[in-house]
Amino acid sequence: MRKNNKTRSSHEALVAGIVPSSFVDGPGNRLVVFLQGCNLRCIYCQNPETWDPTGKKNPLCIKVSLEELLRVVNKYIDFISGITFSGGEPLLQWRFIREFSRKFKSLHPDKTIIVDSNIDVESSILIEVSKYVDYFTPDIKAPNPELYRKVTGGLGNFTRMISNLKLLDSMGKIYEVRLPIIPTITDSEEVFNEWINILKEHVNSNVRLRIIKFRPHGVANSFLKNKTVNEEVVKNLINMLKINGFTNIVYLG
Amino acid sequence: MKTRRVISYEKEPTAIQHAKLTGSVAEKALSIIRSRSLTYQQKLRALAKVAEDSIPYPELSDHTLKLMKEGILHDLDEGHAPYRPRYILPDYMKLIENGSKFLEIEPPKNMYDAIGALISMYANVPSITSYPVYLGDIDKLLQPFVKTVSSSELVNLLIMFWRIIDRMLPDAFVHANLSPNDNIITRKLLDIELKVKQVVPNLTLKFDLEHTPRDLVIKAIVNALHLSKPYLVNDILVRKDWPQGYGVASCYNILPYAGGSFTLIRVNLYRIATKYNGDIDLILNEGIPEVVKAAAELVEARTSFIVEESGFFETSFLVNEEFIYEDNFTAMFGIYALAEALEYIAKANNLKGEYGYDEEVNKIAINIIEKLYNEVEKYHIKYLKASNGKMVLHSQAGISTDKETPGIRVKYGKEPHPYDYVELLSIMHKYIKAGTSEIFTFNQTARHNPEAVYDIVVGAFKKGMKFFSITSTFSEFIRVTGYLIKKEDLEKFKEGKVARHDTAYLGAEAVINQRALSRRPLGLDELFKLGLRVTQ
Ligand code: SF4
Repeated sequence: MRKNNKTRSSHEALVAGIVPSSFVDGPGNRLVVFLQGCNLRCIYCQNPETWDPTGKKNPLCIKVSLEELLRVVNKYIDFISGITFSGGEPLLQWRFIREFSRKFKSLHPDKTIIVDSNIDVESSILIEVSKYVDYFTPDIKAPNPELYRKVTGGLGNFTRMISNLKLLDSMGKIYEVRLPIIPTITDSEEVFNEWINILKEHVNSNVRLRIIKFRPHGVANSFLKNKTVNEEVVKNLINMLKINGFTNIVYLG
Repeated sequence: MKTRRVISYEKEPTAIQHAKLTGSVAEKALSIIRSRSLTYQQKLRALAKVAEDSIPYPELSDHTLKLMKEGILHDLDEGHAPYRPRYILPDYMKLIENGSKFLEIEPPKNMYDAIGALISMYANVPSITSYPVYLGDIDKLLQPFVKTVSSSELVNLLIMFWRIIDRMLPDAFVHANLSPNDNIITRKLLDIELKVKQVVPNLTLKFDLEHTPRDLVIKAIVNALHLSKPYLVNDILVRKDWPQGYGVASCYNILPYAGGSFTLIRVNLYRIATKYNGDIDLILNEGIPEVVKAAAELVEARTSFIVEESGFFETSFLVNEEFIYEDNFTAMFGIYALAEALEYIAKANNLKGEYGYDEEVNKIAINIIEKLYNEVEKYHIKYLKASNGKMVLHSQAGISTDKETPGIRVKYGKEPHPYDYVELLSIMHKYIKAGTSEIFTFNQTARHNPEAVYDIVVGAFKKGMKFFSITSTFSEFIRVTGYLIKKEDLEKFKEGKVARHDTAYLGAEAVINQRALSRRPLGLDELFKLGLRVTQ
């Protein structure tokens, strides 16, 4: 198990961490594989150590072959509903995800694969991995291009992200859409209204929505230091969503 | 003002102690009668106990008496002259099919008759507490009559049934079972449980990995997250343990159907460890064999008394009408304080690891259980026909005055990750036929994802665990030793609103503080164990 610079291979992945049991990364109990590297630089990001696609700055980053990962997964297979790839942006290593998922699904057709992606990637990649991936759990980081750029550190492409959302919805590949409430950025009623409009336009109203309240813990950006989101604000968003017909809402506090 | 309280056999000794029992039989009886803290029913039972204990104890060898004196072997204060088996699991299906001559009950024709028949019978099933500790597979008993009432009547009747059980049999050890089969009674009862929020009856769902529908089990899990019940039993494995059929009674005692257990003795593993200064060889080769020998003698003496002297099997209508058979009885060899035993052993042997975490310490634990099992298998006791003359191991949930950890559990608040706990328990459960109850605590994330708990239960059962007990950080009930109490009551206790100093509540506090399941990445050592390595 060497550690090296770049991995774009379909048989090896740069892995930033493995969580053998998670209740919050899709349906059922799931093993989560965090893949190294991200194309965005979100100001609220809690895993900045996963940004660098070479993994050099992440002392816990390991290179794992497809077979090795299958072996690890096998140890837990009786306990899980499936696997979630998270990151970073896992789809930077989409070839690995596709190959792994193909193999995994042939061995365990009853288990699911979920990709926790920012979906700010080429739509062809989504279509390609969708052959074997069951669901995605996209983040709508902000409801308009301007805010989206601001939140993603100037790197995000709003139009691409939002059209991918529609694409995934039309393919029935969305498990859950996540709405991050970030202090002073996405915590106003104005933004909530825009979110609602975007959701109405791009996804089905029975979509499962997960509200994620910003937590200062582990955040790289000093701008958000000591800023928190009031519980009332969250309640208000949940109310507004419900009034607009989105009733499948999850908020873990 | 006196409030109605759910009592339990385990609390009674405390209550009776409050009556300051000393002196002659007459003095003891009088102080019970004069007590201001006991209810009428409690006085009645305490008086019976004083009378029973005025009879000399069955004769025992010095060897056995010594171990009892050392606090290693306990008879759980069952009384000097037992006149009924400790736990009885009647074949209630016979009542449904044939009625009962003794109780003058005709075979039920509709849901009203059936519920009436069951309630009448429950009031006539004895046990160590005098309350029936087993109520049968409720769904199986009532299923034949579903069509005799409308669906709203059905719900009303079931609510009434459940309320009567709680009010008439206010003992936290009264235990109802649900069969592995999907049916409307089970589903309605699970709904009603969430609505009426009673700690009585305690509840078990038999989960057959091949046949019980996933959504039914998840429904039960949702209940368990909120109420800490039902408890789940691995039906496929337990059926193999008890081919004659089984039921779950009292505090997770898994026992033969249409029979039960004459007695329960228990062994304090911590005391064995300290007696032999933590010397593993001596514990295994002296401590365990000597206590099993003594236990066999004690069990033999007690069971012989019930069968030969008390006349129970000659006179009880349960026997005469074949609701139970003498051949379907066994006796339980309870164990507890394994956690403390290992803590002591580890220290004495300069082992750094902890029970639940360290492979070496876990291995010692497994060796102890294995040894107990092998020793217990050596003794043939005449009347234990349901188990080929052998006592059966039971991981004893403890009594409220215990300071030690129940059964084979890892200490409160120190439970390892569920995967690791399952790994350990699935090995030990092989040896434990008469029930155990390790608690798995889940946090808020399970509320939105009960399917995840289902996954863990399935994994655990596939690995060989026989029983799985669920609770959560948001549950309204808390499991204390073997029974449940309302969190509300605990809060009151903490606020000092209720003046009862019961150690059970202190135990409950420990349960609340327990570490819930967390989303934790594998550490370097774990990655290493899995064959993955960080190489810079
Ligand atoms: S997409 Fe995710 S991992 Fe990447 S920067 Fe944003 S929050 Fe962090």
